[in-house]
Amino acid sequence: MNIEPRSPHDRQTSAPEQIAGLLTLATEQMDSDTVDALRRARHAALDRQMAHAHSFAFDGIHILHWPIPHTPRQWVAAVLLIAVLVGSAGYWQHLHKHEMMAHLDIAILTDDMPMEVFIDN
Amino acid sequence: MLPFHKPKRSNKLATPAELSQFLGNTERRAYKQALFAVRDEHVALDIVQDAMIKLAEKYGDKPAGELPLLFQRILQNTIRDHYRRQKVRNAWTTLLSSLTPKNGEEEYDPLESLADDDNHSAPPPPDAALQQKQVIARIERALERLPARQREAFLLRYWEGMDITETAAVMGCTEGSVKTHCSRATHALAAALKNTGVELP
Repeated sequence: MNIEPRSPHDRQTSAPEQIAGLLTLATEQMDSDTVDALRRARHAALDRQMAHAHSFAFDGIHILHWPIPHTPRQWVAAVLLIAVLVGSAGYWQHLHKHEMMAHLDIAILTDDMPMEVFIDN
Repeated sequence: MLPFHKPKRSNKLATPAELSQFLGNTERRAYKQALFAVRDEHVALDIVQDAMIKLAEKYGDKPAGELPLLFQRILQNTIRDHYRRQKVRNAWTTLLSSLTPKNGEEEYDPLESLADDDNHSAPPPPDAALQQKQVIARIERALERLPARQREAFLLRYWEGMDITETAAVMGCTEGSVKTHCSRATHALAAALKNTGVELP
């Protein structure tokens, strides 16, 4: 029994390539049950990939998405919130500075200066 | 002629359609490779499905050009994992049952099936298609009888169309080993086929 070359081009192919060609031919003649099972396996793999990709995409988008305001009302609320936060921080800093000055004045008047004042930084 | 055209190596990430097309083009050859290795249709299907899921989940977003190499690596590792599990299972079965290991191996003795093919009392093939099927069956049987590493190297190199470097990367060995495995596999296949009446040029 010979493996007959099918065309003049095939005459130049080596034995491994001819074997590979016949193996490919065998894959084209596979029974329908196996082909269906392989198709199902492929779809299952692709479904898993889609689910995997979506879960990652959801995590990334969700984290970036939720803090951004979407409506004008939300934008106004966000601007007001930021203004209140900035104002509160400035007022607290002012109070803190004033309190420090008051403490220093009292210390000078009572001649009760803390040691830190005499240390040359 | 090689069974498929290798995609160009590019850094462009694979789209779901490209991944689907790649798996569609590869699945039958992958199944056959697994079948040659494990000789069980259901196990071969499980191995291919596992390899596809691993590729899709972990490397589905890799560039399309890298998919063939990655898939082959996953497939061969999955086949090796099956061998390891089977070895452990066989060890326990041997311990727990009265069957000897030789009995289990005899189930896969290829000489039994070869004896059927040498039965010259069978009627001659009626047409070329049947003859071709017989040749394919003998080739597949000869491939099953090859040592695992030789079969792996032969199929990757000549059927999957990988070059020596890629084959070595998938098999985790040196390029020299790939050449040796391929050469031995080709000689062993030619000899096995000649014994069954198939002449290679």
